[in-house]
Amino acid sequence: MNVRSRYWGILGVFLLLALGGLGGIAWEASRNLPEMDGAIFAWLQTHFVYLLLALFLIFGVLIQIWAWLDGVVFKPLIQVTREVGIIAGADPSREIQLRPDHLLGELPEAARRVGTALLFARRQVGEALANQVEGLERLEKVIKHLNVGLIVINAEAGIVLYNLAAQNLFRNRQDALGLGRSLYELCARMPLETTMEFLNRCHASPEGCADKGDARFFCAALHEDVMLDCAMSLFPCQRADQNYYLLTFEEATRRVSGLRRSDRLIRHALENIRGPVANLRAAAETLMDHGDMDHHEREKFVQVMHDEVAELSVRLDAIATEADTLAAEHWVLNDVLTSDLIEALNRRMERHHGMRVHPLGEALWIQADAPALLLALESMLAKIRYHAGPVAIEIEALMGNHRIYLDLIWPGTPISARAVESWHGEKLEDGGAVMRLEEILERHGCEIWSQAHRRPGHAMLRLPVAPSARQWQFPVAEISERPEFYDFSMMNGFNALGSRLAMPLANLSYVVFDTETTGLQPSKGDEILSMAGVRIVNGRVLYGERFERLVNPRRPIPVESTRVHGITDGDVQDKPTIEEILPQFKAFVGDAVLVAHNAAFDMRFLQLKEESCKVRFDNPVLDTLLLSVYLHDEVTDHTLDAIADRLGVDVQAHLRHTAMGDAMVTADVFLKLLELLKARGVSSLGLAMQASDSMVRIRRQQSEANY
Amino acid sequence: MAVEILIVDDAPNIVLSLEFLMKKEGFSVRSVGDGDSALQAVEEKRPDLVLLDVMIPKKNGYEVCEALRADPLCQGVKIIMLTAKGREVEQEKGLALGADDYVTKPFATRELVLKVRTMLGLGND
Repeated sequence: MNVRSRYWGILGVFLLLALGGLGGIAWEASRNLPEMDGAIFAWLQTHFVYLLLALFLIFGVLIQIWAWLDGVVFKPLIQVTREVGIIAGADPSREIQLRPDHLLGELPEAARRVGTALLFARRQVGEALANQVEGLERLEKVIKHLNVGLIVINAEAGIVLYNLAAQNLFRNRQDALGLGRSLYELCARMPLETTMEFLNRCHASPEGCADKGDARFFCAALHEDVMLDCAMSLFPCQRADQNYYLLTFEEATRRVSGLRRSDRLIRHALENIRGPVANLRAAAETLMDHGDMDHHEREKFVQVMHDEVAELSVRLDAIATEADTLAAEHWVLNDVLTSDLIEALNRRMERHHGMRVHPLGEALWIQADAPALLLALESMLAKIRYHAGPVAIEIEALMGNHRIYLDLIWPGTPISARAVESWHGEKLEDGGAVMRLEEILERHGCEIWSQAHRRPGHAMLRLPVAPSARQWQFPVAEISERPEFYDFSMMNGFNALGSRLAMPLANLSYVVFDTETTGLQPSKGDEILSMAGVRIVNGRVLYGERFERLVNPRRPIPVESTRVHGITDGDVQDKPTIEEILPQFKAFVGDAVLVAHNAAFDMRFLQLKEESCKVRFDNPVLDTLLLSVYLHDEVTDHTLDAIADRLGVDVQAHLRHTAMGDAMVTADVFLKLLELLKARGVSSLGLAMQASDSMVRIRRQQSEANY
Repeated sequence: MAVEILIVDDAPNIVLSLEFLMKKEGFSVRSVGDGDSALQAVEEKRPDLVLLDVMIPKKNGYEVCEALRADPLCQGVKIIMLTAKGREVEQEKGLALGADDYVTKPFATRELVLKVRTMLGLGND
């Protein structure tokens, strides 16, 4: 019972007592009213009405005073209590707005000062943290852009860190690669498990293992035709079940197939050439040794030699072609973006020669041994400056027929082939490594020459290099806006599923989701049009781990629903059906707690599809609407917008009523609600679900009463 | 006047065949084994067509090709480059430096003869 009800209760009791007293007097009077002077009785008779009126007036005034006090003291008091809750839990900068004539004196101002102090303290803590985090972020950046796929897992193979390269390796399995997900969903279990065991054993044995604690192995990526070259090392903790493991991945498929092909090429070349050469040699020697054979016989031998040589030429051509493509795929060559190469070149040029080259054209992906190619380019630039003087040199990457041309362009005349050829044998030195230009060019299957540039008065030096297949691939690096790649607080592993009810709300992983539908009645044929979900792990919204799909509802979309979410028939006609999407969503959700605003609505849609989609959503469910009702019973508006506004969550209006936009807002709201729940002592999943359940009961009773 | 052919190659075994084939066509043939002698031979008497191997001593085929193209008197000289390296880049480099055509070793002698005749505008009778 809150203070307001008590306050009104007191008045009620007083009025009841007063009425009771009056009633008692009246009753007593009716039974044995003492003899009264006639004058007094007459006076009473004439004034009885006025007495009654005065009594009611007193009551009326009393109630008025009570109501006024309620308005200026108790209502503001409740409001302040709620606002202080929000200030403490969610939004310290919140302004408390009360009616101006309240009688709380300095209380709101004091609360505001506490809020300001809190804000200040938080900011200080934040700044202190930020300093620490800065270093961490730098490290994060390094890991993120590391060329090698990197994943760190805990003892249960739960992913606690991954980087862009790993994301790229598993690009077709985006839904399964995420923090807290099991690596077993991505990679064959057996090699991983045995290697982890092996490393644990090594670590436990007193003499350790021969290698430095890392184990290399091959491993197949699940559902993909890819072999991975993995290395695993152990980060030991106090207990073996708290260990974590660092894995690096490289795609072995290309390399292995390249090696296999060159092996086969050599074998085939030998087999293919041996035969014709044997025939040729036999024929030639016979002709030499038997010059006396007649013309007819000699003709036959000559014919044999001709045929065999023709055959040899054909085979040689085939081998040469194959060797050419193999050389271009040589494993020392990596995918490099020309803009990166040029940037690196410029850094070197500035350091060594105090000049820069000016890049032209667009960035293209090439296959290169970048350090060696840089060395070659640097030396060529020096040669050009020697030839043409201190001119401005431009560099352009051009898409040629089968190659990408790196053109070094300068105003002046081409360099003679004689000069260019003379560079080939030159030794280039870099940090102790010595390479000849020839070698570097050979490694890239490349020739260089100088010719006039299409711009009059300009010449160029052209290096044709092999393009990388990445040119035509999906630009993976750009799809994630800022994925959260790691979360070391998950290092300690996960509790068993059964004990999740007792787990602190803050430690659970959630998928906050929303659906847009053709209407409000799934049982009458309304269908899901789009689904979006975003993951929350350890109190952070992982903006990079999102699920967003349009669904073909196999029915026309009513105009009035299009007005809400903007999705038209045309948007979804070529999209997959719910039977395809829902299992994907289930895979994305895993065993996380599902969160939605008015979850009952969305869950009904999901549950009606469970059978046809062959999935089951038996995950725990939390509802932001119910939690908000539980926390702020005194307000009536629990729409998503209203809650967001109350809790100080930014809403991007243009994204509202898109599944992703709503899921995002819901996620932010949910995080604020979690804080408030914690302040109210609702700290575990079990308690939160209880709280929602009690709200469901109350709401049901209310609606029945209203009915 | 007989058509003048200059063969530049340092492998006598191929020169033997090339000389024989070209003479058979009724051309006047000279052959040299390195880049410097090639330029000298051109200076002595301007050929109509040069069969130019890439990998030759002193000056390589690309350099000879470039030197010929740099000489205004030699603009009309046809150049067919011969090479044992069969990569597309080399072909491109040869053509960029002024060769008219490019033949990879080993080649069919009949096709080479045909190519020479076509280039000289002699038809294929």
